[in-house]
Amino acid sequence: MDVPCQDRISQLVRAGDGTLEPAQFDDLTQHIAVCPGCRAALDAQRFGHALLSQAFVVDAGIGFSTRVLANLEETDRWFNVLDFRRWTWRLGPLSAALLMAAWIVTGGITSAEQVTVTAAESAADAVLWSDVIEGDDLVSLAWQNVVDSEVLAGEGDGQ
Amino acid sequence: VVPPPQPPREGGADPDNALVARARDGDQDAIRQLVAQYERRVIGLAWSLLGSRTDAEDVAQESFLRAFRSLRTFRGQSLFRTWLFQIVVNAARTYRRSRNTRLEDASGSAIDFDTRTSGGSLEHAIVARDQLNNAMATLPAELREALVLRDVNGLDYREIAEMLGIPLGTVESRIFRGRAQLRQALQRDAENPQTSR
Repeated sequence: MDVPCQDRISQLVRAGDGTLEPAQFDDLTQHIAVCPGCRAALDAQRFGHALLSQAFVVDAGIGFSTRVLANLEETDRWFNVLDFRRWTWRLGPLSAALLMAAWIVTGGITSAEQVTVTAAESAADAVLWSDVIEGDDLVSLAWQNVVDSEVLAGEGDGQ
Repeated sequence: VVPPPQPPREGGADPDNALVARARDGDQDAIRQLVAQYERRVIGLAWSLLGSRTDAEDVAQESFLRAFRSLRTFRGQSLFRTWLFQIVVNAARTYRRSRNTRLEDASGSAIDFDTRTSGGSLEHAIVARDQLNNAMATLPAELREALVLRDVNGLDYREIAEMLGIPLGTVESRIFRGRAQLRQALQRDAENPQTSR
């Protein structure tokens, strides 16, 4: 069996698919005239290239691109929902607004609670230390959590 | 000896730049154009790597989906088609591994062979396709990949080297050996048709 010259492989493989530079092709032509191994190798290279370049020529099935796009849209729908970048970068202003709202709401509750507690403490103090407080008022305070406003008003007037 | 045609121009700007930029922004028309432009080559590449036309369509579709989903990561450091074909090669490798574990017979794809290339006989075409698939299956994966990227998909040698991450000389050597072994396998099959089936 004739063996091709190792230093000609680059030329042979490119000559096989017709991409060898003309000058190198002339050089190879002169060589294969006297080298049966390279001549047989070039023949095999051309055969392989010609066969494969024709064997897998395909027409895509009808609607192939439509199917690809449909699948892409379907997966994109979920991907976009789950895409953290969408929530952090693209929806940055909305995220900032939500954070701001959350801060205000949280802050508001804290203030309101503080005010309520303070008011309650003041009311309790006012009732407990009042000179005019009656037993009924204490019962009312205990059971209904309300104090007759006239009691406190009367105390205020008294001072 | 027939003089060769001029080699294709290598390098230069990516002709798909504009479409890729639009597709990255979600332009459906650009995506459709890119699919239409490359669907044949992508399916052909997958087909030649897998030996099954049906499997090839599945892998081609999966490859396009992967490509467009990760288009944001494509930085243009290679041609779009090089990047796309790399995805196809990887998808085909994964598919082949999973298929091999299922021991699936891909011979049903034989009817896909184009009768125009075999004298119009469907029977001849089926046999020819079967022979070619068998011969391709005998090639080591690294030879088969380099070979189909060049001869089926028409990528230039530099692109293949870049895609497979190997030196240019190794690409030439693999394609050289791949073509030679393909011919030997077909000759063996013709001489002993029973042993190779």
